[in-house]
Amino acid sequence: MSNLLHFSEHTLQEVALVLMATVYFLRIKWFLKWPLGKERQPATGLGDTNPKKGARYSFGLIAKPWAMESTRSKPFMYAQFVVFHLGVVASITLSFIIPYGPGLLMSSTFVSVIQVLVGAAFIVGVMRIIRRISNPYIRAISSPDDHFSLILLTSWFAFAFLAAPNDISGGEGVMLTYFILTAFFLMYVPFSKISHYLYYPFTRTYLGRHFGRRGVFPIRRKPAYQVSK
Amino acid sequence: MSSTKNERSYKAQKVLDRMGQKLNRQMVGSLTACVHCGMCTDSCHYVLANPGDPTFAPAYKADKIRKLFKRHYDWTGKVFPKWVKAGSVYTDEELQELKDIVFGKCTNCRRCTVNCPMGVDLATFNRMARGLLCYVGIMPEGVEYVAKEQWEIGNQMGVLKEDYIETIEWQEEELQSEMEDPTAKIPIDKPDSNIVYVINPREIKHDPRSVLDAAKIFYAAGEDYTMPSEGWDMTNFGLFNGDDDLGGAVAGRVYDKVEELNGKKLVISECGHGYRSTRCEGPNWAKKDITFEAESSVITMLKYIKEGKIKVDKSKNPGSYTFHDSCNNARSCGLTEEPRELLSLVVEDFREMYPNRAENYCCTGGGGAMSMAEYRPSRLKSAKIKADQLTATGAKTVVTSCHNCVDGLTDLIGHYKLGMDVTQLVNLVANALVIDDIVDENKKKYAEKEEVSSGAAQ
Amino acid sequence: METTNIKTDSKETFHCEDFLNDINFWSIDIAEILAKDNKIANGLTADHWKVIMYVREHYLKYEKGPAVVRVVKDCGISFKELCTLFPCGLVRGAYKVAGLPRPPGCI
Repeated sequence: MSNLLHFSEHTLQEVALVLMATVYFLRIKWFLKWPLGKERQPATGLGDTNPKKGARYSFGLIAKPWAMESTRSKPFMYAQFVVFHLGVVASITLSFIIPYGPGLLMSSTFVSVIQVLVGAAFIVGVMRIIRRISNPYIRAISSPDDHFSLILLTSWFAFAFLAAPNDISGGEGVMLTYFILTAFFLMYVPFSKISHYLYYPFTRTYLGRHFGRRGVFPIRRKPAYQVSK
Repeated sequence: MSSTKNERSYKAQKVLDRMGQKLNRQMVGSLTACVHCGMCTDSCHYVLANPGDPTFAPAYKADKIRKLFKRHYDWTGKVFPKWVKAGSVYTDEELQELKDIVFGKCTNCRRCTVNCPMGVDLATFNRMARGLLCYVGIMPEGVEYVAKEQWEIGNQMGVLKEDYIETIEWQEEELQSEMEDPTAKIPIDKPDSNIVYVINPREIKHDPRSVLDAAKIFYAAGEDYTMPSEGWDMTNFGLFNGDDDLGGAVAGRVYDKVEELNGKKLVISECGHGYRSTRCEGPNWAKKDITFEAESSVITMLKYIKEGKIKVDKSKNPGSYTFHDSCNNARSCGLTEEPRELLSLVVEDFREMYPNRAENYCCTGGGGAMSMAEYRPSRLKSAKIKADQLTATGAKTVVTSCHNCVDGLTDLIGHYKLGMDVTQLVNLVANALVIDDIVDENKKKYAEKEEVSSGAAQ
Repeated sequence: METTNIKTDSKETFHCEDFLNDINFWSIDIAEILAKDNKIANGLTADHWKVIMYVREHYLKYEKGPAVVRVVKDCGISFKELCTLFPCGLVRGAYKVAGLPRPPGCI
């Protein structure tokens, strides 16, 4: 392994991770500085609803595609979402395994699993790029960051697929590209929309608490009212 | 006052400055978390009624507000604005364009909110944007007029106190006549009542039948209730125009009166935004903790039937009915099952529309849209979705627990020539009341009393 | 709902829902046409005119239409009679035929 590859597999990643973590820390600090809107009124929701239950329901909605019309009516879109994000997890895992646990990649099954996940995510990425360019609604709401983030991740998946066997016998080009892309991705993420997962716990919890307080979440199907004594 | 691109107008600067004061963490979350996935697009009735026009997409509309946040309060948008579509506002003309979006292209129905995988709540920051524009005097004329009436006269239709009192007294006479009971009352300002009943000004100004119907139900149930002489308007234009001060003032008047009368429970007549404003949002706006219970009249009527305090005969409401879930009742207050149960008790033929409950489509009259004449053509175009929903049920009458929806639905039914009627639960419950025995007994009692007193006079 | 056979000059005469934009544009002929378009099939009677003129006077004096209690008490009719005269109701019926602009807010 050349020094450059070693540097990009280790030091570059570590620096990128530390930078990412630092920016994320500052970002969360910035986010938490905004005052939290208070709810004075007691929970008005009927039945088995309250802010805590509402928050839990809201948080878990992403795992219940049948519960929201948007995901229920577009099962293929939902499946793409799952595949894409599994690919992200697989590629991030790979970026740690190659430098710190290369032994795992001796197993061809393991490599195949990673390749299937990132390969499928790559295909979804390409589909999403086409959608973002060709669908007039999605094109109208897309910024350069949206396009770039998608292209970045899709390219990253392609190189993850090629890097998964961890074989530099044919040259180091693929591995170098993969790790440089990873480092760039880590440093770019906090400034782009890719960092949405940072806000996800907050937005879902706040919305869930808001709706739980008002009796909208969890969705209930039985009338509830207290009969006078 | 307009200005050139690099020089900002006074109003535009005020809007940007005030944005920083109005933002809270929940809104900032909604503004930063959008990933432009487009999953909200199909949830909006404006989008469905205007195929091929992306300017109605919720994310597109949201970005018109979001770009200001990104440019002035966020990170990347400050340094590389074009990269994340951040942008500013410089002229009054641009503020007018923003007005057309936040008032004219969105009814704050929250259908996009409940369909967003990230939990972005457009309605909340759309309301904030409305408030910013109102702060600098930019709003639809009708919104300004109605908000002013509500501030200055105490109700959104400018009904004078004497007309309100006279209407209640008139309906009291009607109640006495219908119940054959000259002592039947609609008490005004009775202290220590079990219930303080507050209404929509429409019920006084335009059509008092719902006041009489409610009075009949309260009478049959033997309820100890009163209507207040002031603070009787439970509607709240602060919800529509984003003005928390107005919202607090209006809700505060209701709360103060209930406390003054020492009422145990506040019962709110059927109104979506009124129920939400008065029960759920009002204490936040008014910065006041309320100590009494509050409930929708739907729950009150349902409880009466379930507890046997009133009897109803559903055969008195023949014909076919469907139920329209109001956005504020269903998506903001979770009031979906109780109106249905009540409706099933008072009509024989109840047909659901689809989708329903928290997935129902807006009547298009919400968010103050009925007071925005300039957007009516666009609103009625978007109402095609609702019209199709109504037609698909095959029902003759649509029932709703919201006065705004009554208006919005009446408008679209007329426009699309659907030939349907619109009514509310209070009307159906009153019509279904089994009160013949009460009326007969009253007839007998007061005929006897009259005989006795005319005998004594002789 | 179409408002037919009303000659207009170049300015926008009709407000939303075919309420008149400008009360001064109103005339007896226009009232008859508006009545036909609002479920008043057999022409305007003396009882109709009593309500219409009351509503107009109220608007011209106070710049808003009268509350239903004022119409009923001051015109000496019952609410049932009012609904019979104007099947579309006080606002969509009487106000409209009287040439009032559409009130802001929900009606």
